[in-house]
Amino acid sequence: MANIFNKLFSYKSPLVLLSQEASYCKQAAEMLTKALYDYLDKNDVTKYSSAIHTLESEADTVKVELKKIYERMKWTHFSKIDIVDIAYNLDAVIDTTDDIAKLLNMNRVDVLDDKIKKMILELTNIMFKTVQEVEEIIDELQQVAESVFSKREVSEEDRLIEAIGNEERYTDKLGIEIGKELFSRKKTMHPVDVLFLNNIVRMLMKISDRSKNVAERVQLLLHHE
Amino acid sequence: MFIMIFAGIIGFFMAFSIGANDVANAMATAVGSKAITPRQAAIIASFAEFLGAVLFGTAVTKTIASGIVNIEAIGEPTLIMYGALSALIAATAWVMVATVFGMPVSTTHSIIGGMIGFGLVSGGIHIIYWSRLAQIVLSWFLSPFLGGLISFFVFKSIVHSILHRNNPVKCARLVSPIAVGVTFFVIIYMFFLKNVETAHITSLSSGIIAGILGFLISRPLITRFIAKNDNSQYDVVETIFRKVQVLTSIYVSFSHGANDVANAVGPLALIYIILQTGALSTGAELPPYILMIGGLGIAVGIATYGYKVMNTVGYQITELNNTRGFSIDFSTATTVLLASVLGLPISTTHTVVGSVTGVGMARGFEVVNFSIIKSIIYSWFITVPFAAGVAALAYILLTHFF
Repeated sequence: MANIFNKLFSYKSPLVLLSQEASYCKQAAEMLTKALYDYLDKNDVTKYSSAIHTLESEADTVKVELKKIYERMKWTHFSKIDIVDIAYNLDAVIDTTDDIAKLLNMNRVDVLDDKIKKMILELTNIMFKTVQEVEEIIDELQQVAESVFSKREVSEEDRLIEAIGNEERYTDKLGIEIGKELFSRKKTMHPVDVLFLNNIVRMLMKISDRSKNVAERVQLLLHHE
Repeated sequence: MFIMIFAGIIGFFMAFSIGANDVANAMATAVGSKAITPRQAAIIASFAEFLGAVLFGTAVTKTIASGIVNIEAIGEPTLIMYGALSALIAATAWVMVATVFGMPVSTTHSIIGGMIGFGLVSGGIHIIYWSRLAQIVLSWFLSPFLGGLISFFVFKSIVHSILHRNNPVKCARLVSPIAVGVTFFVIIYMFFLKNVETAHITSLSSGIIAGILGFLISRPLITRFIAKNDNSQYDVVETIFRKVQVLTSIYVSFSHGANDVANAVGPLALIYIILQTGALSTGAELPPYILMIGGLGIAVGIATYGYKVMNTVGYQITELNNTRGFSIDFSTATTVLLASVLGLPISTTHTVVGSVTGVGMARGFEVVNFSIIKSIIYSWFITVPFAAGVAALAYILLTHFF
C-alpha cells in the first residue's frame, strides 16, 4: 500500500506557514523601526537594508509554499481566497518595509526639525505596533482553528482586530498631518527632501493599511464560517 | 505437503508485505500526531497485529477461504489447492507492483480479486457466491462511510464537551477517561462475543466491566498528569489525548491484524483444510498456527521494514493533533474490528480515509485533499480485475505443468 497521507494532508499547516510569514513581517518592521531612528539621527543604515531583504526573501518562500498547498488541496477549512489574500497582504507589508529600507540608503535629508522627526518616529512606532498585532492575530487564528471556532477564541480574535482598526485610523490622520507639516516647510527644506520624506510617510501608512487588510480578512474568515 | 509449504512461504511473504507497507498507513495518525515515535509504533504494532490476527482473524480468513468461491462445485481437491495458491501469487504480485508504483491499492481487494479469478477459470461464473461477494463489495463502500460517520460524531463530541467549554482542561479530565472506558468496552465486548462465544448479555456485562475499569484506572493517571502540566489549555488537552492515543494506536493495530491477516493466510487455510480432511469440508476448524504464520509475517514485516515506512508516512503531519488523531484512530479501529467480527474483509487504509473525511467535515482540519477518494475508487476497478486475471493465468499454468 502506498503512502496515502502525503496526498491526503498538506503535512505543513497553512496557518503555521501564515504565522511564519507574519513573524518575518514583524522582524522586518522591528528592523525598519531601528533603521528610521538611526536615519533620523543621521547614522548609517546600510546594514538594515540587506537584513530586511533577506527576511523578505524568506517570507516570499513561505508564501509560495502556502500557495502550492492551496493549489493541491481540494477541501479547505477556511476559504482559499481569504487565506491567499492574507498571504498577499503580508507580502505587501514586508515588500513595503524592504522598499523603505532601500530608499533610506538613496538619499540623506539635509535639514530636519525636531517636530517632524518626532512625528515620523511616532508614525513608525504605530506602524510597528500594527505589524506586531498582525502577528498576534495570525497566532490567535491558530488557536481559533485548534478550538474549532470556540466562542471564547473568536471573541479574543475580534478584540485584537478592533484594536488594529483604531491604530490604522490614527496612522492615516497622523500621516496627513506630517504631510501638511512637510509641505509647509517647502521653503526651508530642500523640495526633494520634502517629497522624499512624504514618500516614506506614505509607505509607512501603507504598511499599517495592509496590516488592517489582514485583520479585516481574518474577521471575514471568522464570521463567514 | 509441498504445496502447503510453498503456500506457507508465499502467505508469509504476503503477510510480510502487509507489515512492511500497509501497517504504516494504519499507524500514521498516531505517529503523525506524535503520540508515539515510529520505533514505538513498530513495537506496538508487532505485538498488537499478532494478537489481533490470532484472536480475531478466524472469521475473515474463513470468508476468504470458502466464502467467495463454492469450492465443493470444483470437485477435485488438487485443483482447489492450485487455485488457492494462484490467488495468493496474484495478490502478492499485484501488491508488489502497486507498492513500486506508489498506488493506493488494498491487499484485501487483491486477494478477493485473486479468489474470483481462480473461481471463474476453474468452475465458471456459477461457482462464485455472488450474493456474498456483493455483501463484501458493499462493505468496501460502507466501511469508509461508517468510519467517517463515527469519527464525525466522536470529534464533534470532543468539540462540544471539551474544546468549546470555558475550562477545556477540566472537561478533558472527565471526558478522556470516558474515551478510554469506551475503547476498553468495545474491544472486550467484541472479544467475548466472537471468541468466547458467550451469551450476548455476558459479553455486554464483560464489556461494561472492562469499560468501567478502564475509566477508573485512567482517571487518576490523567488527573495526576494535569496537575504536573502548566502549558496552555489547548496544549494540555492535546497532551492528554496524546496519552489516550497510545491506547487507540494499539486498538488500530489490533483491528488491522484481525482483518488483514486473512489476506495472507486465507488461501493457506483453504489448502490446509483440504490436506487435513482430504475432502472439501468447509466446516473444518482452523488451527491457530495458520493465523500465527500470518501474524508473525506481519510482525516481521513491521520490525524489519515497516518502521522505516512509518517514518516517511506519518512523521510530522503538522495539521494532525491528538484530538483529531484519537477520533480517526478510534473510528477506524472500531469499524475494522466490527467488520472482522462479521467476517467482512475490508481495507483499513480506505477506512482511515473515511475517518479523516469525517473529522474534516466536523471542521477538524484546515486543508484535506479529498480528491484521493477518486484514486481509491479507481484502484478498486483496477485491482480486482488485475488480480483476477493474474490468478486465472497462474491457475492455468500450475494445472498445466503440475
